[in-house]
Amino acid sequence: MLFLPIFILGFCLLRRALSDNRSKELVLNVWIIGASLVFYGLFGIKNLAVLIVSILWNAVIVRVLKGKADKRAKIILATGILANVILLLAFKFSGLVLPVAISFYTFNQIAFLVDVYRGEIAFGASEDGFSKETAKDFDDKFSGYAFIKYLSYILFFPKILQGPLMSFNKFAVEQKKSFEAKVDWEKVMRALLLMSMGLFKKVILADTFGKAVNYGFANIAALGRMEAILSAFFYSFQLYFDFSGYCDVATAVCMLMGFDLTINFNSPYKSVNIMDFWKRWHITLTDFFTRYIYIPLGGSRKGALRTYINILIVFLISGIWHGTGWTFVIWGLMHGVMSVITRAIKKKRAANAAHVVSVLANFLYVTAAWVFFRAESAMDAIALFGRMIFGGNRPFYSTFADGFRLNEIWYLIKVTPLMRLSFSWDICLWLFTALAVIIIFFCPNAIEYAGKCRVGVRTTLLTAFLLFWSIMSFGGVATYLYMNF
Amino acid sequence: MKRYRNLFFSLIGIMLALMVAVTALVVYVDPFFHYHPPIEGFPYIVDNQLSQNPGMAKNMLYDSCIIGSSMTVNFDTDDFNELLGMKTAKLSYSGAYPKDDSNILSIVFDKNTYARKNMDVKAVFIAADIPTMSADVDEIKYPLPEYLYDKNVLNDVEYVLNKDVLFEYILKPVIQGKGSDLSEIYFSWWTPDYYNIQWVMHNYEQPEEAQEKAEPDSLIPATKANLETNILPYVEANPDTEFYFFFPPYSILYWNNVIRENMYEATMNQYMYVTKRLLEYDNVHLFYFQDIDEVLDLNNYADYSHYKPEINRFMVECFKDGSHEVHSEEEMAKELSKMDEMVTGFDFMDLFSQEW
Repeated sequence: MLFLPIFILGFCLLRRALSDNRSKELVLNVWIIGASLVFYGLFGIKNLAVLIVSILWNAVIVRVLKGKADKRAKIILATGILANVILLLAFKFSGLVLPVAISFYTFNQIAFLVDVYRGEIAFGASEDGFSKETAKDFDDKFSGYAFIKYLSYILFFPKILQGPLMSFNKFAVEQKKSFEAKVDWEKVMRALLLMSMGLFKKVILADTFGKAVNYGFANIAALGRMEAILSAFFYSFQLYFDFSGYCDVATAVCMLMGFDLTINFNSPYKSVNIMDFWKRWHITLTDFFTRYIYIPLGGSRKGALRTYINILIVFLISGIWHGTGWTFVIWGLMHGVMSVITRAIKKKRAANAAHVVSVLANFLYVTAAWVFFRAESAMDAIALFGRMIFGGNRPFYSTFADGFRLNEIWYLIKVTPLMRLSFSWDICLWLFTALAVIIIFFCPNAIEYAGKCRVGVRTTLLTAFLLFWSIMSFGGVATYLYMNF
Repeated sequence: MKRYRNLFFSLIGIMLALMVAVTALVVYVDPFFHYHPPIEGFPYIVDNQLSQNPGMAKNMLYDSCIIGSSMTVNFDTDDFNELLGMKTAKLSYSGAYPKDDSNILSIVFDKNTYARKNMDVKAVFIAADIPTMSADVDEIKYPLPEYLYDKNVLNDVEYVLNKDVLFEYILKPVIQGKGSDLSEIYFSWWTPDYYNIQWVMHNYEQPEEAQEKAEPDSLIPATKANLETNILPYVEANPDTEFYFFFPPYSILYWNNVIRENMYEATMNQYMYVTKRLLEYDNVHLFYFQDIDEVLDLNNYADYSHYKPEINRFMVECFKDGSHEVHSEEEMAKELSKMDEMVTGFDFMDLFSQEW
């Protein structure tokens, strides 16, 4: 809890104290690297060791690679990428505990290697935020400032755990902006509002839905029809609030520094089809796959059939990236197949279905796919669908609904006439469900709201309320779901 | 810009005021007894072994304590007062491993606590669960809330700013107006209905039959390590404290498990080894309760190992009058021989042939 205030305070004080650009760039980068190492180190020294080995390996490859444009460069690049992929696959398929965020930093580094190979890393261009000395360091030997900036880029703690997967050039531009920024109190208040909303989504909403989800997926054979249906929807909500909450908090931290983090999450369940969904859910991962896999495979340039195959390949890889086992392959293919169908239909027939129906149909499909994503096995996922049909009508098992009865809400309900309702013991479950539906389908996304709302006493009180509620609830907080990929 | 700066400092002010208020309330009531003894008149709820045992060990007044697994949860500390004249604290951990015992013993014998500054430990009553003696020396049953076990003040934030502490352990007891009876805390299977053979047999699952017989001495190295790391150091370091170790009276079904796991001889040797090591100390009293007649009647049990509270009372009576105390390895050998007769003479076939 103290880490963030100390980091932000230190960052702002150092930024203010240093006037010379060169030393400011150096000191602030060192501050970011140090804080990020401490932050990542909190997940264990073994995790940190794997990360450092990965970074050093990629640094060596960059050093050998830069400036070369012949066949040798291709071999070096391939070696670098191959080692990254092997590291990732080794952990994913060996049964060892997956180091935290390995998929994210591995992808980030692969992107960096490819960009260096393509000559797209613009260390030298002033608009990309580099001093001449930095550019020279990079051109000469990828050492000194250039290496420090690279470390800062990979380790930057607001994005290392779950993205976004930013390009180096974009990161550098934003970083330079943040180094030159001054404290803007309005922006600070907006950032804190956003942070409070992000924490609320994660701590209060996602983790509460998670309790019912854990019960549901662990006891599939015992679920009634409604429990089975809600288990699927609740997991959909849990993932949404978990990832959305993380993105809000990460964006808020960056806002406090004067850094605009790339948007990675944009009300995805409001999508009208699966392609729209991937433009809103984990946006930078979609960009990564498009830029580094889909386009090199030929994209849509080689005819319809190849395009469809390329789409399926991308989603298959996406499935494997998210986890091991057939459930993830099925999940990836479900998205791939639906993307192909959507693309094919779109070409022949303009989308004319009613907006609401499209959103609803897409949400149901995405939720069905998430069942495979969450289930221990494909058979479990099918069994859950079976319980939705053959589970029968019966009251909720107490454990399923218990998790929603948060003391702070339940104590209030107990002294109101609501307790006289026949479903009073399940009322918290329905309140959470209604709140989730309203936030997901009817509210603007939090980043947009925090950026545009009128900051005043009301938003300040809301911020204080949500922050305090979340802090008081930290005790039972689970880890972020996307961190395990 | 000034307006936003004022809003920012107002926000910080509100947050600090709320956090200080909650912290002050938690520190004042201190439902986990982390900072001070219980305050007069507050109806404390004590139902969380992991969170409340360390505080009770530090800040309650007691001259003896109960240590061990769920085999100890049904002791009534009033019995210790009535029969032995002791003020006893129950510090059980359900499913405790020797390391769990060691963790709480280290607090019990910490001379810098309020408890030790005001009272010496006259006696410690420890359940010696043989099945857990061969665990890894660092194995614990559940992850500990470290902030309640270490001396780091910074991580106490997890205690003082915790809504469960606020609602479950401060607000709820205030609303209910009734706290826990400390003599009966952690009681499990408390209604008589649970103690019957139908319930036990209906829920009992026999372990898989092991094909290979365990080597007779296979359990000794791990048992030795556990005794020397987690138990005996406290016995040695506190010669003025009497340690009452007892082998809890599991039902006869426990022995069926041992036989099916092909560990019978190894387990018998383990009992002998533990006996030998414990009896090296003058301040140790060792009790063997496993061959009492009650173990043959499953109506005394809630499952294959957990006995009814009357047996807990019986054991306290034994601590007082010395019945079932083992004074030498020879006596222990006789007890195990009697146990062997009970096991070999018991008609397991008949028991398992019935529908439950």
